[in-house]
Amino acid sequence: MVTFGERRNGFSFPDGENVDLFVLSDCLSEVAEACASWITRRFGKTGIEITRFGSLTGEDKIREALDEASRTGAVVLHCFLSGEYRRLVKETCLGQGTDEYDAFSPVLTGLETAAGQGPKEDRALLHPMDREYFRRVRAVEYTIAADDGGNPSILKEADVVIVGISRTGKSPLCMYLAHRGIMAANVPLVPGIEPPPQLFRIPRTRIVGLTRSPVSLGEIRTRRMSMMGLPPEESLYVRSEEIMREIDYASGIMENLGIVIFDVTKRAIEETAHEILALLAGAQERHSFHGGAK
Amino acid sequence: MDALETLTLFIVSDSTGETAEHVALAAISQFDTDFSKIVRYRYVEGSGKIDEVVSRAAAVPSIVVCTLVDRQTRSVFAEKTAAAGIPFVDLLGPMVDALEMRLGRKPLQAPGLLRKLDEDYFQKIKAVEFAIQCDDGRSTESLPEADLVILGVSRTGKTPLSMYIANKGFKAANIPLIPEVDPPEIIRKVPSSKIVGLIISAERLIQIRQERLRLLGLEPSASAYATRERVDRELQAATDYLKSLGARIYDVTDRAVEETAQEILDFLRAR
Repeated sequence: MVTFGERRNGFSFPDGENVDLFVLSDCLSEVAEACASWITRRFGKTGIEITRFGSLTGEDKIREALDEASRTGAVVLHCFLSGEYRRLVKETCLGQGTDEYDAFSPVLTGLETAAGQGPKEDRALLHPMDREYFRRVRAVEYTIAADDGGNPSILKEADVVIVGISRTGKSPLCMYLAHRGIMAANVPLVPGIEPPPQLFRIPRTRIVGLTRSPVSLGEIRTRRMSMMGLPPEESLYVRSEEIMREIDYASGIMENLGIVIFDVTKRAIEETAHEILALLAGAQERHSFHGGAK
Repeated sequence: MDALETLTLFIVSDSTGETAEHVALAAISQFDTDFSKIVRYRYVEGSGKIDEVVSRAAAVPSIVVCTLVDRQTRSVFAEKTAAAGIPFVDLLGPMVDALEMRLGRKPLQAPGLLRKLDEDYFQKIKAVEFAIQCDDGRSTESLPEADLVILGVSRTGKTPLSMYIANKGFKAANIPLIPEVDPPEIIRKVPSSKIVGLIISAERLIQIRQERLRLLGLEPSASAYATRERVDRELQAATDYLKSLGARIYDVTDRAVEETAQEILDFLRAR
């Protein structure tokens, strides 16, 4: 299990405390996300750290998330279609002394009163196709939140984490994967900036590295500099030794992590994406065959 | 049952009210019916609208759901709806109050700022949903709603580009150009300023396609897909078609998706 000791970014308010907000949901992940996002917009970007537990099925997973909430003193916001899960969350939080807010029940209850009848218990909300659709929307939302090293605390939720130096196409690759329903985070590897510690707790089968030939990187960056109106020849960014240094640095980290590395120099995003999808599909199986050993 | 068949949903919000509507629509799906009507009070400031909402809601079978930051307004609302016997839901208010205590600071109440933040959020969500829905030539009936239509031959990176642009809040659709298949006629109804075409050098496209065939376990020479002749023909047909539409054309050969995306975004924002 992931430990939470290093999650905070050292941010604090003189008059109050930071709040860990755990957002739990089943197939209502999208609704839960809208509510959580509404809350954070009201309080600004800092001070509230969200951890999402979406598409939860099974009491064990819910209990596990609530135990974590209890340990860390997190506030729980939940949105469950399943009445059984709603009750489980309420009772568990009550027992553990966790602050818990139900985004769904009050409206259901209001509707019951208005209608003079109860809802159909746990009626399936969506067609299977809609579920697939929401899975993708959720993946895209996650990928946006976890783009470019944003929000390292949610890295552990990722189906795959893409690492690489700048201009290796991490963001578009992640967006493509998200579009296939994969929650994809990306973390830039920049010399002088330590990757977040959370990265090193992700199983290596869920991390993929990207690299690109120095010549190709040089070309892309030169164009980028001139687009920005900067003289490319004077910039450190494009100087080949600088590029080599970055590539060496990134290679070091990627080798350290023991991850699969793709050279994207002569490939379309889709190619790399499909290989990653195949890799993810096969990871579980290989893992069990080789016991996850290096 | 009768009551539900004519149930009116009143949304009251100090911002767009979309979050409340989202939750209410998910909840109504658990009943055998839908709202007969949704009345939205948006960007409500202070308690000025409460009496109006209460008197309208009291006149028909209804439920009132609010997302309001201001506690005073919420409590007046709760009292007045209770007195009138109207089901009332203060959606996230209790949570705002609790967080205010824990964080030791008040929530944002500047209506203009919240409005902007909420609109940006929902614009992004809608753009992403749109891009997924209109990916790879699907849902062409929605094309007139697009901020951007991306056309290009296979393997020019249309999908990643669409997703990237959607992430910035613009609705992007993408349609593959295949020589044997006529593009949907509806494209002609999209203003040319909203259409971009992606092209790529024949050499690069051949390389990409050969790699693709290898990945599929095929010998690259076994298929016309990656031959010079086929690729030249496709690129020529695509370029002719794009010119006939008056589309702006981007050569994506050896370019990162972010680069093309940035140029397109600059153009979209300048409009």
